[in-house]
Amino acid sequence: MTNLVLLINIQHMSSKIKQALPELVENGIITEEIAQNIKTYYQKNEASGSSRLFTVFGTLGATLIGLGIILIMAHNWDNFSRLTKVFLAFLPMLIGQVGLGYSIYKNKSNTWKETATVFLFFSVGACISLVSQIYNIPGDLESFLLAWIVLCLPLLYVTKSRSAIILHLVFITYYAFEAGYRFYGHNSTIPHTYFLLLLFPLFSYFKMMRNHVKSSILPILHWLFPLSIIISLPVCIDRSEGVGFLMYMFLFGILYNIGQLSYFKNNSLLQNGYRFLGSLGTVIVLLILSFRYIWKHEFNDVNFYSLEFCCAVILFCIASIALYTSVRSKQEKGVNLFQYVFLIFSVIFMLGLFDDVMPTILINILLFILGVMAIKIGTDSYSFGILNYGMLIIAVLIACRFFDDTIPFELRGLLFVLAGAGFFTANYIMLKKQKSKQQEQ
Amino acid sequence: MKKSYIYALFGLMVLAQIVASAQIVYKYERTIASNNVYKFKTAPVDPNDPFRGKYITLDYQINSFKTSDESWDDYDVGYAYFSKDENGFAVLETLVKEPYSASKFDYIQVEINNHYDGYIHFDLPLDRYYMEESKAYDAEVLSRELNRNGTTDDIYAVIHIESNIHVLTDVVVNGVSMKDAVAK
Repeated sequence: MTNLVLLINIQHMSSKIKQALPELVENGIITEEIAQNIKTYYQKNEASGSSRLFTVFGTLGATLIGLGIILIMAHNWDNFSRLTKVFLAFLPMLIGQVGLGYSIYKNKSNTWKETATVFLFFSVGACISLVSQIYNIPGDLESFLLAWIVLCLPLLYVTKSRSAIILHLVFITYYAFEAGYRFYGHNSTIPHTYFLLLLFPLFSYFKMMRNHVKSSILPILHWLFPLSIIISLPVCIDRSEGVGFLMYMFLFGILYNIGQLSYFKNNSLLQNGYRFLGSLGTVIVLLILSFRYIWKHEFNDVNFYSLEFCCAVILFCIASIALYTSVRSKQEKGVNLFQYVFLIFSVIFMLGLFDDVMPTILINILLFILGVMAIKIGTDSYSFGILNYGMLIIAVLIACRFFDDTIPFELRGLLFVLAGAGFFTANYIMLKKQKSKQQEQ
Repeated sequence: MKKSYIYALFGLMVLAQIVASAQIVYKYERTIASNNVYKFKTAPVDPNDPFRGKYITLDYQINSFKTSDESWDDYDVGYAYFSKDENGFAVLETLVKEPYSASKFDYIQVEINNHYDGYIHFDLPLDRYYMEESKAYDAEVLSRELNRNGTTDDIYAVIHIESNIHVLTDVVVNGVSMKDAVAK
């Protein structure tokens, strides 16, 4: 949807500029030649823009049709014989295969390839689901999703389709959710299949990043990859749930440090899901751990010879490498504490295995410093968003202490008043600072 | 990637997608054609699968085996061997950890739930019977009524077993297919 809005905005802007050209030429602001050049430039861009628009609509259409077919088949038509149902199950898949084969053979446009890929993806799902429905195959949703994903893996390579990457990511996350979150019963699968499946689209993703492809899909992937891993991490948690906090803290450390790499330096926060999710995730986990109750009860099951701890060690190594790389590639001076939180937390975690008071205090101090750091970053970069994010961290920290009955009421009340006053003062100072800067310019 | 590799990969994918579904169709059609039918007494309830539609979950009367063997653990895999009585209803003969190399009985692979009081409790894997959207709930209501009247013996699942492949083809209520029994 973002793509669509972006494309429409660009087209709206270019038509406005084109309308203004005769006036600019008339008043002698630009020459006739420059006006012609601008016109040619936008005409070229419009052509590629409208083809992208077609691709977006084609992909959306194929997704809706594919999902529609799955729902129509899920109705289970009693009037049809078994063999008719089998034929109907295979029909959309065969149409999808022929369509995709034709677009590859004739080297059709991207719109064709993306649409055929999406249609084939959903028709394969429809075929497997209808066959298992016809023969009452008892397999659970998890094994059904795995079969579907594996059968559609080659789609990632045959057309270099970007929709295939998105569909793959969405469905492996769904699979991990089914496999890793034990709502009832016991977990009989090897959930690490998720990480193996995650490797397949990485090649195309890195290639797009390395070639600095100007694709509107790339910012979406910068969000989808980290989101998928965040949702799927519980596949690594079996018994030792306390280590889960450690794993998530390392994961957010990885994400934040990836977001700090020089590749992302020109990306806005909205185009940098790694930095956004890494920072927000770190703060949320720390806020949960700022309660003494958690340190008292959640870390009794920590086992160093467990799958979870092994995963935590791997995540720690990756986070350290990401930190080293991002610090080396950093241009601006000064230390950004958000990058080092995972290191500090690992020490606090070790302390937490022996005591519950000291880590609680340390986490609260760490959160407060992070809030102040965010305010400082916001002020330095004249960003109201980051400034208020820092204020919010401190405000939520204080709000969490509202539930701590060990702190007297009057002190808690005073903290709230101070936090509220802080919000007003910081924003007022920032506004004045920004105004004086504008005046200087 | 070279064009020839793309063609090869595409061809393999198409083949895999067709074969994966077609071999399931072949396997179960062969089992159904063998006509080796067992009747399993059961009671249904009605849940929902987002992709495959509405189904009724079958709760089979045969769900435990009396044994003095203490070596069974939860979630172990077992092989339940069945014979048929004079009316075609399944009778559990034995439950073993490894399948026999040759036996006059047919078996179904089961997962062990728990083991207590000298009984091993297990679930038969054929616990889903897909129904037309509008009929699944009615099927559950019908079986609840039969349950209240104490006549659950009148519901059974029709299961074909051949070469240790099993497929559930129908659920029968009072001698009529469940699909027809709840038809509006």
